[in-house]
Amino acid sequence: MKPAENIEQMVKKLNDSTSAEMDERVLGDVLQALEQSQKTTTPKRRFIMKSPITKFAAAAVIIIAVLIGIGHFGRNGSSIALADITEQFESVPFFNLTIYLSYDTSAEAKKVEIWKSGDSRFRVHEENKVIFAGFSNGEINIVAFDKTTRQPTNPMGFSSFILEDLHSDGRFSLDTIINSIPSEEGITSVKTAYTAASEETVVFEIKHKETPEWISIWALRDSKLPVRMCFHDPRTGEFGDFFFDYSEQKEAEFFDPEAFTTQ
Amino acid sequence: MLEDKLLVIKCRHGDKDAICRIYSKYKNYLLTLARALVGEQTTAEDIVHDVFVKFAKAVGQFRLTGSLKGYLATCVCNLARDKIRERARQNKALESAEHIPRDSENPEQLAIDGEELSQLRLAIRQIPYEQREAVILHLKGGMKFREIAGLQGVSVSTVHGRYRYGLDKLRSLLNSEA
Repeated sequence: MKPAENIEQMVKKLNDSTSAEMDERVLGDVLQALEQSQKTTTPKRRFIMKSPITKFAAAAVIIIAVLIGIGHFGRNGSSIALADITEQFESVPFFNLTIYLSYDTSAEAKKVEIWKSGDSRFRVHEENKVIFAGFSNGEINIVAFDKTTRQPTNPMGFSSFILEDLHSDGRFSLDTIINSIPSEEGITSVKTAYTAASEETVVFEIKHKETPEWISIWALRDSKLPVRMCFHDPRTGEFGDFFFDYSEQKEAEFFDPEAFTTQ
Repeated sequence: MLEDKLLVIKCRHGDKDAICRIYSKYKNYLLTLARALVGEQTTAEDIVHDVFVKFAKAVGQFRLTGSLKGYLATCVCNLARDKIRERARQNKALESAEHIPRDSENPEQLAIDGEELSQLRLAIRQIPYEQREAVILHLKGGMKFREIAGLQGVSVSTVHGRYRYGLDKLRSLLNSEA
């Protein structure tokens, strides 16, 4: 008799590979379908924002968090303390966020920097691009330039996570975003722990009940501002490390695309 | 997954490399699922083809809320059901449609599989479709019983039962062949 465990192992061993002919046929049709879909889809040059501009700041970090992991979690994680942190972050007039990202353990971490101005304009440095985002009449306008040539380029990249979700969602508080995530019963657990090293810092540990990915958020107790956020998925090796800095307010010119191109 | 979310966004903007990467990343996984579900290589290939073509057509409006792998696996599962139903209609009865002659498979593939896996494939085709789906989606698709329950529109305990019955049936079939 073959025990059930053996049957399970045998089923797991099933493994099929596509042939070169199949790849050619599928990719040919897929690329054609993609081309056709592009013709019928309006290009997204402008991203409409329905929420107040002042909430963009919270969206930046929150959406990143959602996209790199909180997106898998449910609504049970919104505790009052965590809500305090996100609420406080919404009200901060300016910040600099430095992000280190890697999709797997073998890949070199990628650096992305985001600055927010006092008047809710944004500048992003990602790879060889400098991206500017500003608002008028409830719409967000995004332009990107090559860092070296200063010629216009496609803004597509990690920062497009933020832009895409601003366009599609229109809601920018942590609670509303977590609530918008398709959650299943009680998936998120949020634990608050005070670091032994400093009573000034509070750490939120957000874990999935069934899968091993986690997020930690460090915040200052007094100011209630986040200073670091970390994400890791042990299954894929994906990780993100986010550092928040509130010390320096950049000049208005720094957020001006015209000034950048004429320098 | 972070990379998948970025790939989907790039696809929405017509990035061909991104959609090729998605195909390359999941093609074998989806083909394995499809073949195990429908029991036939050519039909499985058609399913994978259709899933990717539909994805490419709809990617402009597509919003990734969960895992891309899970989404594509669900699409494969839905198309596999359609194929099974279609086959059943053609054969007037689902039971007769389930029994696909062994020679409908590519002989080269059977040779690659080896005797043990070939027997397993034959046995998988002989178990009721709901049980087969539960076994394959859980063991090969990596889906949780809760997710399969959502897909099949039944309770988790029903899926668990189907899984156990499916495994028992497989064991019985394989032992009888041995």
